[in-house]
Amino acid sequence: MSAPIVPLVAVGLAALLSAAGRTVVRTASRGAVGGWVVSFAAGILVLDLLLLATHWTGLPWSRWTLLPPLAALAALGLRSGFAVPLRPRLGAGDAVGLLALGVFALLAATGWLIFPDLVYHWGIKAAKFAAAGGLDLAFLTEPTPHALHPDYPILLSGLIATTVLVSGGPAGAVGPWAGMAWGPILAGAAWWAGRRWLAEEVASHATVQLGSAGLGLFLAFHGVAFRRATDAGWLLVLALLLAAPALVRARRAGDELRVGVAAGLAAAAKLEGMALALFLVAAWLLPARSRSAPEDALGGSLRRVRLLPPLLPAAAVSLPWLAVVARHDLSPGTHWSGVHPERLAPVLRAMLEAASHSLWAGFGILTLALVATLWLAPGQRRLAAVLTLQLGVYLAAYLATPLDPIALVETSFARLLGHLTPAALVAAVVAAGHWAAGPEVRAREA
Amino acid sequence: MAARGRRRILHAALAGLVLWAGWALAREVRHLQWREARGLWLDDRPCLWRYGTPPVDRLAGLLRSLGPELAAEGSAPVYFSSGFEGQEALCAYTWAAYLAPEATVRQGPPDAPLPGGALWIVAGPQPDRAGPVPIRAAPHGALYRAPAEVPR
Repeated sequence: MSAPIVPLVAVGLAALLSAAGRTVVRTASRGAVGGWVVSFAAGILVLDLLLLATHWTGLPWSRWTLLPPLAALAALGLRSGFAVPLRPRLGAGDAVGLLALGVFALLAATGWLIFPDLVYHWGIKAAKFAAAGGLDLAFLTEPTPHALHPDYPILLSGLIATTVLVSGGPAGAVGPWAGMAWGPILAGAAWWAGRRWLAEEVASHATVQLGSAGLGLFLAFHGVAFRRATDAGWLLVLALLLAAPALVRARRAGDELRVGVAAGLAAAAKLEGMALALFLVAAWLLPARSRSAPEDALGGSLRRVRLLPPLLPAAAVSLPWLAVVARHDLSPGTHWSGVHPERLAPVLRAMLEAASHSLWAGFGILTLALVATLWLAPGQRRLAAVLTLQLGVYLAAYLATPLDPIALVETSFARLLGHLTPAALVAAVVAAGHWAAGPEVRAREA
Repeated sequence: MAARGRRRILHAALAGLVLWAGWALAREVRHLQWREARGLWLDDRPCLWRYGTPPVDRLAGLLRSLGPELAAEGSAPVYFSSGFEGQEALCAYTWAAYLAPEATVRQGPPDAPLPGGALWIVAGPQPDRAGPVPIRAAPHGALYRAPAEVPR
């Protein structure tokens, strides 16, 4: 297969995952489907589980072991149609957002953005997994440099490896093309999740369009500025944009599943995503602002606290991987060197400097300001708590790392902050949209 | 304040955000073009290499040309050296492992002894070193094999 065709294989795989995920979502929620991005995210989790299950059962990763289960699930999902619940009214702002994402995709597809983490981390693991037909434990357990993060969850590398295997080409030649396809796909899904959130919560078409354009432009900026042709951070961006609507509005049927899928996606993406998954589920369990308690799809009161269902996807994807890490001693020992409280002041200063660096065009500071502002809006506090706690995880990692903490802040914090920006941005637009609509509209909506 | 006034304020703020993000994206794209126009994807900085640039193409060509020998090694480790030092050597090695994932590529320290019988890929200038036997010269590098270990 010609290498430039491989991104199309990735798009086809994304469509297959969406269809397969729809079956899972419909079965789990008994009908409350909630948009194709939720289905897409659920399909990604199905693939992750499949990759881990084949590892634990000793089956190889190949198109013959991975595609049939996905195709069977997809066929079940498509049998009853694939209606889009919300018919979007697209506008000029959507065109601007899509154009920006198109620029990002074009730059990614022409190789401009295919370094550094794609090569040194996710990409090399994907290429080795595809070549080995599974988790290449010999590679992961080599005395490799810590930069390769052998203990990081395998979802993104698994997505790229699956694309390589489906395309059938040699991993060394096809891997880069498969890698650079997934950033734009995941960024596009994140944009659509945010755009849908805006359209559901904000009545003004002009506000939705301006928000949609701003979100698309920011996502493209983040991808280009940080050279993220592919990065597991896109999965965190998507997870936050999927879960956030459920945290800031009165509970609706399907929201529990939405939070569960988002938490699973975060947990399968990165180590800090496991913490984010816990925060998302914990925030969901906090009392909602709604006074009424509508019935959910399972016929139970949505006011009732149920810990297990939203936590299940995250547990299902992270526990088997953590078992692999423990069994093969994959932790590189670069995460924890004890508590160093004396680092607090210099690390905080470095974090502020990184966030305000001119390279990041002020979006780092904007994000910190937005997170602080969300605390002032009563309906947004659960999301504000999630974002603040995630910032706390980053701070704790810098305080405990055995590496040079200041160098680590300088090379990572602005990018990590960028994972929180889209959800904070859209939440702020939704809150401002409610404010602009006036108290009478807000009262009617409540 | 009336709803219309609040909406105007919001739309003005959002229009500002759109212009801001658009400017930031345009600035980044222009920066990439500027680097490309001046050839600033530095040959001597593997940690700044990107896919599709001459140094990566040269390395990919070298590894492709050594494909039969690498395939014949199976899962036995193949050592790689690039002439770079420190972090840059590590980045160059990672690129080699990335571009030849079917082989078990390991970073070969330029001066340390190689395991007996091991293959050794040297990208770039060839070392002046006794011991390893040159097997084949390839464009932009060569392949060596370490002498077999003498059983004690």
